[in-house]
Amino acid sequence: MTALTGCLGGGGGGSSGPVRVGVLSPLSGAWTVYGEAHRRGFELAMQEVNDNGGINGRDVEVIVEDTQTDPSTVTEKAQKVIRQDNVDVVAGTFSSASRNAAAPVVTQEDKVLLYPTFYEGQDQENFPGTCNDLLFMFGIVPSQQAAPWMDYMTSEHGSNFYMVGSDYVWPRFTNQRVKQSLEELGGNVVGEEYIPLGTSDFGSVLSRISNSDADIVFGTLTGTDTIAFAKQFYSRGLNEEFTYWTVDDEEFATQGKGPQAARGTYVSFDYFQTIDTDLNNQFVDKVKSQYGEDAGMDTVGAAMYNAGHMFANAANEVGSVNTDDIISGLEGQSFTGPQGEVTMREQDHQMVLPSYLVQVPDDWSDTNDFEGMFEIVDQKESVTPATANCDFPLGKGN
Amino acid sequence: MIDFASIISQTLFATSILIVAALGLAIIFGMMGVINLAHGALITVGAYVAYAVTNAGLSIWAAFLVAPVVVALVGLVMERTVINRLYDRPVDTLLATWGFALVIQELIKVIFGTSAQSVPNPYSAPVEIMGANLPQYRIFLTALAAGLLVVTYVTFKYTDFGVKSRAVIQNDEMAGLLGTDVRSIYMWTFMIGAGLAGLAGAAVAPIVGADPRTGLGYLVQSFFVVIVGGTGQLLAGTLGGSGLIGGSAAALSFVSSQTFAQTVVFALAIVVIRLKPEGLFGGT
Repeated sequence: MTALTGCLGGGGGGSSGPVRVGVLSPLSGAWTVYGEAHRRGFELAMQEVNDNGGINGRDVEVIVEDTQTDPSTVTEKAQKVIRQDNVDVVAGTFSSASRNAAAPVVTQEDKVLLYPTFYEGQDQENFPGTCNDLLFMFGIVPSQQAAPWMDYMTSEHGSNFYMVGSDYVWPRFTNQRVKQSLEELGGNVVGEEYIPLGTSDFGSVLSRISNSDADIVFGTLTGTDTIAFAKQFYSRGLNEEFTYWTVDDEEFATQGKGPQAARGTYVSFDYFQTIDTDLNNQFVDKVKSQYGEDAGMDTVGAAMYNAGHMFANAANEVGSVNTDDIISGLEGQSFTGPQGEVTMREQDHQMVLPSYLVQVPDDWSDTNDFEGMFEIVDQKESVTPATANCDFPLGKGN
Repeated sequence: MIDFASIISQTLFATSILIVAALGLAIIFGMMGVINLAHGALITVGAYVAYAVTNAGLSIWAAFLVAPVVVALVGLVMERTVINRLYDRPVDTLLATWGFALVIQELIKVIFGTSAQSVPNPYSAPVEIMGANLPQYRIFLTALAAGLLVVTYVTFKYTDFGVKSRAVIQNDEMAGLLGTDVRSIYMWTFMIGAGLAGLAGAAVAPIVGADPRTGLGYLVQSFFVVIVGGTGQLLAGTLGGSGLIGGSAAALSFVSSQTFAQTVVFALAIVVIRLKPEGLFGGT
């Protein structure tokens, strides 16, 4: 029956022929730089899977679509890969808005979406679409990214926080959670500001920070804004007075800030290219030999790499690429990724991940040197995320 | 507590950066009437020239000389190939220049990649003036804005070239009959506008970086500056427009959130355009 529908559907999607995966990456528009790492991570994983015999003996074919950093294009492209290309599973989308645009499509078509980005966490109340059996979250959430380091940061640098973020959902939710842990530690929020995306001048914000008695400036600015902010923070000399900790500036954003403005900044994520393990070194070498010496990796690319492998392992274990089989295969699936041991938590489809706190060292000078960009301050091997704010069991399309 | 010096200086800084960014558009759109949607892309090219120059080990100051020349040459190509055929069809310049903008943006990605690149700031420590810590580079930008504004104004108002340029733009047939080389005047005026956009790109790069979309934000703001200030009003229009769009947003953001300040300013701009469609300083 499955084979028959597959044939009627135009060749793909059945149990013969290649397994097809649709990848939705922002390859043009504002998030292009993340989109490249995104696509590379997944393609690399699929090459390795194909080299090792594919999925249940079938090759994997990757269909990449450019979402143009635009949620309405995401909807269109998600429909295209599912209906026209008959993919078995969908991977990607970058921002929360683009994931929220893809979620109704995969729900309607009953396909799994592998989502790689660091994000605010699932929330039934505010984002009903995110509590969904069909969605698997491979990226880090605030309870893993920021909470584990609150203790260290407050005891090292003080407990008065000035929060600066871009004006959308991820910064607001991240800060909400950080405020909770800060309160538990007896710290204070001495300022909290949200800046419209696309702002290039931070004069008044920097004046307020300068006049505050903050110890730590906690940044959730994104895109080019975080670069402009860091450069102006530096030119005001504020890096001498305050500790800057950002949970956005992975490799590409830090590259854009440059050594002068980035030095001394703390960043925390599950993955950094600088992680010195055999597995990560191999991973980085493969990226470079495949995509060129200057090709970089970041948390999103590593998450896509994990997503690809874990999907293939799950499908091999259950012997099928049917949606329900993939779901049960992925739930509880473990994998040793470039960042270390990771596990897809069964209950809420949220990854258990390592967490790293890094700092930009003074001797980093070449912007293309992604290995020397960060120095690991401390690491936690496995951080369990806070339980998603969902009704359980998740169910499809809540 | 926010001190008065901070408010004044930040308002001044925000105004001056918009003057630098909008001046090229004030010439190409304000004076010549070409709806130059490639203005942002030209600023981006300037920012990348600054990146290329500093990345090659040269000082950022060298970029201030190289960027306007390179971008003026880009302007030359635009003007000679397409724009010069469209001077009597201003609405069509909108599409043509947007086409150039897309081509330029994609070429930048091909040459420099998609990620943001860093351009170093030539100054490190800020200086303290009346209790406020002021970044030296922004002080320099304010001086640059004032200088550029005056030089450009004097060029177009009093020099031989400027008088010819204004004559050609006003009535090219008549100017041609009087022996002015219309083609060359148009070309040079467009190149000066483009070169100023290139200089703007190099000037903002140390404080915002260089990425394929650097100029886009300035594109919208620059159009607001020129329209609100009044098209054709090089000195007063650019100054007034920049003050209203950039300066008042900066000043307001000291007493409200940045989001609110920007909203109020754009609402204010709409009110100005409604009540005075020719702009603050435009008209007869």
